[in-house]
Amino acid sequence: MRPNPAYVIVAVFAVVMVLGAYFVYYNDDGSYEATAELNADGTVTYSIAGPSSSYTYSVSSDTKLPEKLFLYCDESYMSDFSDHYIQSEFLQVLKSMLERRGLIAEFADAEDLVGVMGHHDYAVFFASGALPDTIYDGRTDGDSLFVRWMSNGGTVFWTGPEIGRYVSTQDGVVDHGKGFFGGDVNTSEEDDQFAHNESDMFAYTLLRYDDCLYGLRADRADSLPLSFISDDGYSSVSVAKVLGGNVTVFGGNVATTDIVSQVVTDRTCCADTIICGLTYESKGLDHGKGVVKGSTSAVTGIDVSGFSGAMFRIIVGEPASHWSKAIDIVKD
Amino acid sequence: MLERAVIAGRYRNWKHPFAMLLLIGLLLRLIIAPLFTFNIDVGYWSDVKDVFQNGFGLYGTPGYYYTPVWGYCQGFITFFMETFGITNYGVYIPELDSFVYSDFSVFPFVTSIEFNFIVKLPLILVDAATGWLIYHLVMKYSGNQGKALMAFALWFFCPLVITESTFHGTFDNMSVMLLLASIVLVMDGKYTLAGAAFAAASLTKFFPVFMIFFLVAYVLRKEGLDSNGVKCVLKSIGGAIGAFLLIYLPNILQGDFWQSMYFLTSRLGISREALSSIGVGSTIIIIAALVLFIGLVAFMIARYGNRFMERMNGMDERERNIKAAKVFIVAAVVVILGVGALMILKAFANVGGPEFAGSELVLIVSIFSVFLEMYLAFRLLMLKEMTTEKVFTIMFLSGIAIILWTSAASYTIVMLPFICIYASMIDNRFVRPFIIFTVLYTLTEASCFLTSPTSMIIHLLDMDISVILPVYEMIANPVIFGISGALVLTVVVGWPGYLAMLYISYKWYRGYYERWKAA
Repeated sequence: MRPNPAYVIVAVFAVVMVLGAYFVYYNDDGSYEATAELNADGTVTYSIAGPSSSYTYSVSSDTKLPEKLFLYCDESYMSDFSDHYIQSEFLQVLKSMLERRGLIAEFADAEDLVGVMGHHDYAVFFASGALPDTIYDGRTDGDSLFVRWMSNGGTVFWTGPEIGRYVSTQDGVVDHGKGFFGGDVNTSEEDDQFAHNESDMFAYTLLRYDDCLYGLRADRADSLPLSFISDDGYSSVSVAKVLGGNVTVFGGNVATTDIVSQVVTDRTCCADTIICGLTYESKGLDHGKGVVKGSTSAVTGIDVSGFSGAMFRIIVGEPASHWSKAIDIVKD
Repeated sequence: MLERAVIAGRYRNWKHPFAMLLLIGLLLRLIIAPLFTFNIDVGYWSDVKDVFQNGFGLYGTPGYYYTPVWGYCQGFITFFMETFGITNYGVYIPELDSFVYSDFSVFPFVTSIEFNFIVKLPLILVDAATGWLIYHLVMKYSGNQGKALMAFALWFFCPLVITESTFHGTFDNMSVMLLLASIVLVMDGKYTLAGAAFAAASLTKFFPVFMIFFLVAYVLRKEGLDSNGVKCVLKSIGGAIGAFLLIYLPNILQGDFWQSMYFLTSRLGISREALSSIGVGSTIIIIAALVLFIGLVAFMIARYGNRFMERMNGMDERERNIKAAKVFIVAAVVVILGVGALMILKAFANVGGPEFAGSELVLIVSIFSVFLEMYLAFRLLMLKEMTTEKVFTIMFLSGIAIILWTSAASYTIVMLPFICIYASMIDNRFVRPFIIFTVLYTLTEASCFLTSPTSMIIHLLDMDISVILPVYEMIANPVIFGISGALVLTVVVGWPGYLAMLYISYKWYRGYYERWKAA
């Protein structure tokens, strides 16, 4: 008897749906484990275990991981840059990505930031494009909480128009004309603000983040481009010195859009950047790649023992990462 | 001895023309699939798996916006890749970034040869399965193997079908396969399973939903416009609910059900934010209203169906059909005018001045399609005799009524099996128009074909992107009046393609009209 193709098709379809749904929703694809240890000869032995995937690793110096990370979001404070709904959705996703990478972040509103500014080992992610008036008065050389906190070594992750230029209040956003970078940011109104020239650090960070609207000038002193540089010299992701602290600037519209193209890649880049704790003084020391096959172990090739704040970082998955981990290997 | 006979029998089976055609078609696809690929969708599929691999299911973060069916297939494919240690997905090519928002939209990730192959393999198998259904259907209802083979060959070697699964890597053919499966099952009287297959088809891509009128009319005509017919339709609804739950239960449990509807609702201008705000209470009200509506219609048919049929059968056939056509046309015009007025109001309410989009025109034409489908279903219901020719003719017309608007090439796939079946089984004068129409629509993808060797250039030949970058520039940059090469190519070939598609309906109508006039 010939089989009725319709029966076969419906049966196969049902099996694919059940297995596919299980994999999508209930299979913990992030169950990786990684360790890294400094050897006597200054090389690093690392091991990684988990489902099959490609991975890249890097070792960088002069890194500094924040003790705590706060994600600023306050619906009662105005933002011209981003809808509160999309901003909050972006930060929720980022929080979840960071947790997957071993960093627990907390939400903070404008009032909470006042307390945060008392700890210079803390970091804050701003997706609002403006600092709230509870911590900043619009004067980059003033005596606001934010200025004092940055002078003491605070860490900021920023996306949006130049940091320090706009102050957000409950009634609106005030433009103070200039921010902490003195206008060294890309404000071109052209549609395509993409960078595709690899920066020196790209080989170590492998951050595939290309949007450079509001990106910092790549040749700015005391700054370190981490990803790509546009033809007209703007960086898509940079970490720069501001007063005595570090500000990492993510260009483009990662926090303002829910258009699907590249959103996941850009957001995982933000999470991967945050957990590796790069500062404007960081240097790339070593990098490589491989494939996770159950459990994999290998040794890096360069003596890193002489560098302070050396951090080993491993990223799993492509085109976007789906797991990453940063491990302190040389404690000061 | 017996063993040898069995082996010989198997060997003979492989020499069967169906098997030979299947083998040739599969080989052709398996050679093309890994080497040539349209970047935009296959590149995007590589991004989709990143959504669930980051622990967001399918809708926890923007990144995937189709219904869950293809997302689960992606889950299945990724599971397969992880199991077999396939880890090379491709490389990021930043030079392609500048084309991301151009008319010729690309993805800046050039997928690897193995990724292309694995992702397209299920789609290639779906092409084959759909061909098998077509063959089965024609064979069963014509009893003529030559016709069945012709229908199969028209589908399986159709350039548009090969393009969409094997080059483009898009999953429209999956909804076509499920739609055809539901038709086969309905004709076999397996109503529960048919309902499940039809729901799965409509939840894969929206277009098969237009065929609901044909399917319901078929069941009622076959089983009676009475309580028995209603019982059979309710069985189908039960099957559809089962399939719906199978597909959507994970989304319901995760609380992202409405987000998963974004692909459908975005066409109606409903935002992601608005969808997120739909709560449990509203959902219950929507479901209750739906149940009430179905119950009411079922009751009316069971109670008054026979009386309605008697009344209709008492009328002169021609007069009745003309009257019905007038009713459907008036109803369509009223609904279109109402929706059109709403659209105009909405457009003028826009803060930045009036704004009209092509999608609104598509919606208007789709409303017309719905009424046309209803009229065809009415004609099926009123058939004095359910002859193969009449049923398959109405199926053919319903199939091509699904897409009457100038759609993307991949969407038109849904109507192709119905033309293949009609042309081989009922009237082979439709073979040539079918070939012309599908060739022209295939050519609308010319710009994608030109860039399709990118994977091969980067991964197999190990060459730099600069080798093919001039082609991207030629296609994406303005060539005339600020219009890009991609758009010029699409318009130049697209309109004749669309006219060729309309010509198929016209050709059928002209023949019908001549027969009608002669009668």
